[in-house]
Amino acid sequence: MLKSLRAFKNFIKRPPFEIFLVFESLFHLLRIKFLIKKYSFNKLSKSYNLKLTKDENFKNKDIKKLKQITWAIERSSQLLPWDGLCLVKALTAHIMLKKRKLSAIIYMGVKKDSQTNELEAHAWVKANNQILTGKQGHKNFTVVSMFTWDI
Amino acid sequence: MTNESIIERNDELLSSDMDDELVMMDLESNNYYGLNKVGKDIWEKIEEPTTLEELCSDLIKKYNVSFDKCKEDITPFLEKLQEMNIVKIS
Repeated sequence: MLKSLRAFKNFIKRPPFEIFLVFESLFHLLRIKFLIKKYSFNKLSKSYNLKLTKDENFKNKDIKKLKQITWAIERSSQLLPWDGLCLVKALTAHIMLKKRKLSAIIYMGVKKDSQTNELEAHAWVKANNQILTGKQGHKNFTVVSMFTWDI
Repeated sequence: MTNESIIERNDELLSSDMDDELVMMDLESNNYYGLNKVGKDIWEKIEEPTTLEELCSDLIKKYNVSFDKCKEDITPFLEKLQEMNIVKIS
């Protein structure tokens, strides 16, 4: 309780823009969580104008904003009770980055559990050589597709 | 399925090599699949639409089986792939 109170106090000391980003991200996370249940990724990616890419060489200039958005998505997803939000987080990053004319790549990967032989999928977002969302364990996944968007 | 049945890939699938295997993602159905080594071989051979006869003649060069046995073995596999919308058979 004390710990979360302290976390809350630290949170409201943040610059207003960053607090706004957390609420914006929370809104998108919830909305996409709902949409992805209802529609396939294919339909969503078309409506978001995502396109397949192979080009990883691009640089965003506004690195500060990139970091702020990364932080906001991480922070807001911790408030939600679900696991396995990687794709929801990736699409949230897409919406928030595109709005600010920032570019990134959404990676979709698959790996095989060596014990159960079951396949597992993961999505992560990368820009300027930094993993923005879905960093944990992404190296174990084989990339199947990469998506980006026009800014 | 006859010797002249044409087998072709579903082009909408995205695939990638994972060691000896192939993983694919069907973005339309939000599903993902893995093919083993033989499955991967078949997938590579049907890059262009291929008849069952051509496919088997190719496979028996690599695997030590007779033409008929090959056909018998891969027919249910191909039918399953068709069911899962991974290949089209016409």
